Amino acid sequence: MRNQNFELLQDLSILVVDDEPEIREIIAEAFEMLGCQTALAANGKEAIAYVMNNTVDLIVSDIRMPGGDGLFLLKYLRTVLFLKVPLILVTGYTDLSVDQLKEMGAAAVINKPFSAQRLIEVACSLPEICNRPRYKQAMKSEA
Amino acid sequence: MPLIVGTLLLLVTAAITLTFVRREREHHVAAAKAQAAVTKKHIEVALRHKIEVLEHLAERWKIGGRIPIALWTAEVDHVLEKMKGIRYLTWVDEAGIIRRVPSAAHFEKVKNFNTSSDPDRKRVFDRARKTGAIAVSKVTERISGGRGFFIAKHVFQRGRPDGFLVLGIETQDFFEEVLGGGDSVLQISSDGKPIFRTRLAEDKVFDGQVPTASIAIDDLRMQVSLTPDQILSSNYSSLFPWTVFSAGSLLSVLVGLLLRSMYSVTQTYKLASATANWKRAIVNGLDMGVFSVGPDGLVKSFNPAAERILGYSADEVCGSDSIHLWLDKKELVDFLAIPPLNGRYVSLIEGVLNSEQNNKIFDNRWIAVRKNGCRINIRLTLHPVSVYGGFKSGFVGIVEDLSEKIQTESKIEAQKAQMDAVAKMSVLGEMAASIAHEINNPLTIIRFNLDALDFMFGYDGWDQVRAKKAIKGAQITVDRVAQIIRGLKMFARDSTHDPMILSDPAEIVSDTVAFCASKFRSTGVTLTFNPEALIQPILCRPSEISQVILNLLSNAYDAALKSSDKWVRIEAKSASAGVEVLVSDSGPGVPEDLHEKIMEPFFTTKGVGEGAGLGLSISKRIVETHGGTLQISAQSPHTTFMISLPLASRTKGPRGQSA
Repeated sequence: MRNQNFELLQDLSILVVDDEPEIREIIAEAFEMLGCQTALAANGKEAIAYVMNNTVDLIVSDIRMPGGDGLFLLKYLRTVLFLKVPLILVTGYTDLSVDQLKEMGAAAVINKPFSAQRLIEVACSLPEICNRPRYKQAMKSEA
Repeated sequence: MPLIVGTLLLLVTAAITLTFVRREREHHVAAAKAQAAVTKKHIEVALRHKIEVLEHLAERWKIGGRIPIALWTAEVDHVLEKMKGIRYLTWVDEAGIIRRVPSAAHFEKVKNFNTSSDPDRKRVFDRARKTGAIAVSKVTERISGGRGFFIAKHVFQRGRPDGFLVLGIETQDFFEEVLGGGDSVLQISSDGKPIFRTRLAEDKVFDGQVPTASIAIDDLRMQVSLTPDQILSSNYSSLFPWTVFSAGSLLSVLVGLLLRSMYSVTQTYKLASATANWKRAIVNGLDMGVFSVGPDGLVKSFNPAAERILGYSADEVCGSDSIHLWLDKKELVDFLAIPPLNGRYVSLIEGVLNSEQNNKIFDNRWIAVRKNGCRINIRLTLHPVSVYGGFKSGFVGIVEDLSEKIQTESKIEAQKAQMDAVAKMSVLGEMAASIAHEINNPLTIIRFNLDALDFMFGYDGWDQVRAKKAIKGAQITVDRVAQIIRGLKMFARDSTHDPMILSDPAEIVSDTVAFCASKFRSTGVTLTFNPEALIQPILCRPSEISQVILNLLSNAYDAALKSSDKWVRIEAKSASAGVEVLVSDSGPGVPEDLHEKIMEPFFTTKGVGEGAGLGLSISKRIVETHGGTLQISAQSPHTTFMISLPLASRTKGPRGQSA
């Protein structure tokens, strides 16, 4: 975690989707410690409702959830809302391979169990995050 | 059959008797004929005698026999006196007038009677005159009474015709003289009219069939008739045919009876031998050893199966008291609790033979010693055989080889256990994915808490409260993982030999629920568990009860998934008889006609590969070994399975407290 990159995430608006409240809370907490704003959703439908009304920079979602799973959320974003917001899928088990999921539009796939460090590294490595104009501006203004 | 033979014999006897009777009759007829001929001869001889007398008198008349008259009269009187049947002697002159009757006795009645007025007499006299020989008249009713005929002779005196000498004969006297007292049954008739009958024939009927002899001299026509029937019943008849008949009838009846008894003996023998063959075929075909022991305690028969089971051949054991060869002696002594008498264990046999019972009296598992010395488990049954009157004629023993049966039983037991294990593991397999998820989530939480602490160390953002919270979160989650592992362990281990321990049913349910909760959660099936506040502990094998609950939960999950409002509810409560655990779901329910069937092994409504159909049957067995019941509740509107378990003190399963 002692990675300077974590500042990349500052002020990002992140939506955490998981049916288990403990999991989504602890993920949200980790992001908050890095200065992100977080929102929580228990399933895909809640997540879509949130996305339609708010600006979201990154979505971290479980796959298996009652009431609209991660894949439903992904498909809905890409094919109905045409949003390219990066989505990290977090899963304990899946019938689909990582490549298939990426083809469907997932930005990254993380297998459970995972650490906060790994989640943040993956988040920071996403082109949408590291090439963020706001971050570049901030860097420039600092300079 | 005997009846027919008897009747035939009787008929043959009757035929023989009839033949004899007929021959006898023919014989008698012939005899009667002969007698008739003899009688005829007698009559003719007697008649000839009279004729000769008359001719003699005629010669005397010719030479003037009347003179001297005294001599003539004496001679005539002599003739009349000596010769029976001569009624009179008269002289009739040429004109046919009766002139003189030498015997004065009858003269008055016929004196000067003109015989020529009667054509019959006239014809006789004419013939006598014409031929010069004797002429005989026919039998006529006499004017002076009685019946008779006469013999006339034309006589001459000194060369001139001088009338006729007539000898009148009384038939009755004549025949009596000729035939004497006679014991024959005969009748003499003339012109179809009977003129004489013997005393024995007085009331008899002489028809045209009787043997007859005819006499014909001039006008005299007579017939002699004899009845053979009368001869039969007289001294001439024989008892022979009737003896034959009686003997024959008796013989027929005896032969009939003999045949009958022989026939029934044959039939009985056939039936008995058929029955014996049946029995032998059954006994020889049986898979069980069968032997019989006589009242003397000696083996009488030994079937092939017994030979096979015990290794002795029938020849070796028949006729010996070898029942003790193959029965384990130590066990026998133990069973009888008495030592052998003179080295022979006769007590068992005596005991069986003296038993009051008539049916099976000995039925035990026993150890048999085969001929080669090895010991086998058998089931020995002894049945006394009682004959008519309750007297025991021995007993039949049945030997059943149990070694194969015991092997099979243990094999089946092993297979059953294996099947249980497979079923359990298949449930576990279904659960595996959710279990992985179940463990992955807490691990993630722990890791995140540790990461948070790490982060706080690296930066000055150390926050006492947040750190404490992270530590606490990690601890709780570790406990949660531990519980899941415990549940999993409890479920997966082979628990059949576990001791029964006192446990809280609610705790077992919550441990079980813990490690499958996420499966429900991830598919949106609401799983609620409401234990009653105070549930008494039960004596059980917790892992087995957990297995049952998991089984029911798994079924409930599958059922609830198909419904719109997906929920599964577990209740645990105290009941009068113990503890009840109810598992209900929102599924479509089980049709009533399947309530019994779903508890059977391999019954499943799921498709191929989705379940073996063993869950409920195994669950039912487990609950029953705990002394409880598993049933589907009929009252509940939803599918509700109810596990009833008795309280600690009353739990006594067959497998019991094995430790």
